[in-house]
Amino acid sequence: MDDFIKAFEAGIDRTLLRENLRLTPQQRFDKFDAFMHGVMELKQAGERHRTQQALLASKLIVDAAVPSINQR
Amino acid sequence: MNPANFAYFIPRFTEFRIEFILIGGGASIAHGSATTTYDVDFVYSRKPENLTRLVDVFEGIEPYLRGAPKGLPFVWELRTIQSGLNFTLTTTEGDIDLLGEVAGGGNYEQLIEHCETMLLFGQAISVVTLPTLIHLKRSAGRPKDLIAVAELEVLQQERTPKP
Repeated sequence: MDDFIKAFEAGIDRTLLRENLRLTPQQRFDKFDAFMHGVMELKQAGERHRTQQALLASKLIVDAAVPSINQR
Repeated sequence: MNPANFAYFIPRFTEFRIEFILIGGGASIAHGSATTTYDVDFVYSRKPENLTRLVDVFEGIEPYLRGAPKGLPFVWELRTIQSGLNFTLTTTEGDIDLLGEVAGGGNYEQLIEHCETMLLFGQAISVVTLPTLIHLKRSAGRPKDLIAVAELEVLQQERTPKP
C-alpha cells in the first residue's frame, strides 16, 4: 500500500498545495466552488454540443433520404 | 451529477443543531487539498435527539437512496435512521453521505476527539484533523482513497515548518 502511495506522491503538484495553504478554509471552499462551476459549465457545453451534433446528423440523413423518396 | 453543495448543507445542519463532523473530500478541501468531490460526507451522532433533527433537516429536499431504482418505498423518517447506520443520499440540493460510523474512526463520539473547529460558511464546525483524515483514507483503502492519501501526506509535509 505504501509503495502505491509513494508512487503517487511524486506526481503531486506542491505549488497548488502551497497556494491553498495561504488561504483560509473558507477561501479554499470558494476556490473549489468556482472550479466546480467551471467544470459544470464545460460539462453542459459538451452535452449541448453532442445534442446539436446528433440533430445535425439526423437532418443530414433526412436530407439525403428525401430526394430519393421524391424520385420514386 | 451536481457539485457537492457545502454552502447549503453546512449552514442547514448547524441551523438544525445537528451534531456532525465534516470528513471526506470536504475535509480535504478545508485542509488545503486541491481535490474535487461530488458529495458531502458527514459523520453524525446517533443520540436520539440528533436522529430526530436529522429527520427534520431533510424536509423539502427529497432525500432518496443514491443509485437505487426510482419508485422504491423509501421514506426518510426516524424509523429509517434508527434501523440503518450509513446512508448515501441524493437530494434536490446535491448528494450527501451520512455516516454513523466510519472505517478507522468509529462513531461520532470517538471521532470528535480528533477534530478541530473551522469557520466555514459562517459556522464554526468540527472537521477531522489532517492526520486523522489520512488515517481514515488509509483505512477505507480504495484506490481513490490511496491517491488522496498521497496528496494529503504531501500537504502534511508542506504544513510542517522546515527546520
